[in-house]
Amino acid sequence: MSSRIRILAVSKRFAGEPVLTNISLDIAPGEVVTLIGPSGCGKSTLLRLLAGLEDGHEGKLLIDGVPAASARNLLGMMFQEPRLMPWLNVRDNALFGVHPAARAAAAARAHELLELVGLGGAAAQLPKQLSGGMAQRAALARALITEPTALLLDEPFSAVDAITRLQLQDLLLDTWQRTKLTMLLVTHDLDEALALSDRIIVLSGRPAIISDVIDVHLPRPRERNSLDFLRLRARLFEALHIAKAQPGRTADGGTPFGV
Amino acid sequence: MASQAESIYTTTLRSALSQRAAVFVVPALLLFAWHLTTEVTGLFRPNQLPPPLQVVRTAGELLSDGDLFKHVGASALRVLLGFTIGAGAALIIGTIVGMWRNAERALDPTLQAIRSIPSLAWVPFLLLWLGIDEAPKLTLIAIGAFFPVYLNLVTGIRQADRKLIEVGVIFGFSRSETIHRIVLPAALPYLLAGLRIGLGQGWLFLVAAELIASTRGLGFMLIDGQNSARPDVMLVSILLLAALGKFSDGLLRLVEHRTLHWTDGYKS
Repeated sequence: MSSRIRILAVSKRFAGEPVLTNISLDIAPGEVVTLIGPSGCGKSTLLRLLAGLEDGHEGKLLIDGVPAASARNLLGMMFQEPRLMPWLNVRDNALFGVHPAARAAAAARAHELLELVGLGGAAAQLPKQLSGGMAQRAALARALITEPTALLLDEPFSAVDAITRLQLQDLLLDTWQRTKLTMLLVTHDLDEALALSDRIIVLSGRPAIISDVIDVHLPRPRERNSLDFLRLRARLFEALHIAKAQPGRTADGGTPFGV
Repeated sequence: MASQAESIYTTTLRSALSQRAAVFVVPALLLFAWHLTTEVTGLFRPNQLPPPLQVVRTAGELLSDGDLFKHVGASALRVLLGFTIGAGAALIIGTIVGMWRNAERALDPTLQAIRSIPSLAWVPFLLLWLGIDEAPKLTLIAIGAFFPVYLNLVTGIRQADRKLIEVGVIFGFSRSETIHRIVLPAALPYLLAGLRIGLGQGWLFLVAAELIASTRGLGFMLIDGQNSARPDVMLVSILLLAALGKFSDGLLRLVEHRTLHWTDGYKS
């Protein structure tokens, strides 16, 4: 089970200032789409709008044809920080999204998910005892416990070291291959985008527009130093470079990538 | 190997014992100084500062005729009830004020004004309104316990991490689920600090209440000792207040230790 996410002519302002204008995006069930672009270009805002963490937008956000606001239960989300409840152990954190009355029924699934993310032996540990990578694994288990049909990933691996990041990317890819969930990922990491996505959306300017789209038709798992991969990497790098050098996009003459 | 393990064991045991012993050094020195300045040198006369042994004898007499138990029981019960009422009210009102900005606007200024009224200023009115039985005493203790718990809880709720609350939004938590499952647990370290201060205030306000109108309790013992020129009785009361305050705080510290093991603070 995976969901179709449709973003139709979505615009968003913060304190009167536009951050996103007229963004449209159609994500097929099971597709992995990455949003990439300069800091502050509104990538995360788009994810947060879908998740209901921001409101007051124009346009439509649809999940399987239903407004995102009434389809929250279909979505799972991971953030840059693990955001585990520090007072709960790993098992209880994984079960956090389950209603207390349904916990007993979900216990077996939590056990299975923790095994899957490699935390089978750490179920009783507290977040303060976990490394950054382990904490993100727990956060992935928590996001999957409610059996979502789409995952929103807001720079989930940007705060861990390079080796852990590769391991977590593999874990996410395994998860995708098993579940075929629709995934919408925000990242700053070119290689991460290329290794994981079917499609890379380059956002740029302020307010942001979609300035480029790169399809990645390579079989997974992807060889990161294959010629095709490197060619696409050069293409993506160029797209970002052009995106970076677009000062004319600012509507109000302010700094294009202002804080 | 065995002897090495044994020596490590004895070393740890010895350091644990010496740490325990360190706790008693200052009290022992004070006791010795007290004994020295009264019994031995007579620097203080017994009607000013009775010697330790006499105070112990007096405590023994009060214990054997049942008075001590009566007074301690009365005071402890008052603190327990008053503290429960005050802290309970603070838990409810603090949660409301912490969660709803409009409630804060409506309630907080008034509560802050009430807070700045000195405890003794309440006494005449409480006696006027509630008589001289238990009600005014419990009310005064409840007022004393209320504010530290209230202030700490509101602060704790305010500093609850927005990022954790967003996790609740993702899972579609209701307002009450958000409060029970995220905000209150996150505020627990503050709440427990507030409860400890509130309990201390409870003992403080207890004595204020018992000094004025009572026939039982440690505050009454103090006044009774003063009126009958028995500084030994006064000292028994004072020392019991110290011991009971320390003991009840120790109980809360135990609760704190049990419930806050998840915090990642310095030496936690």
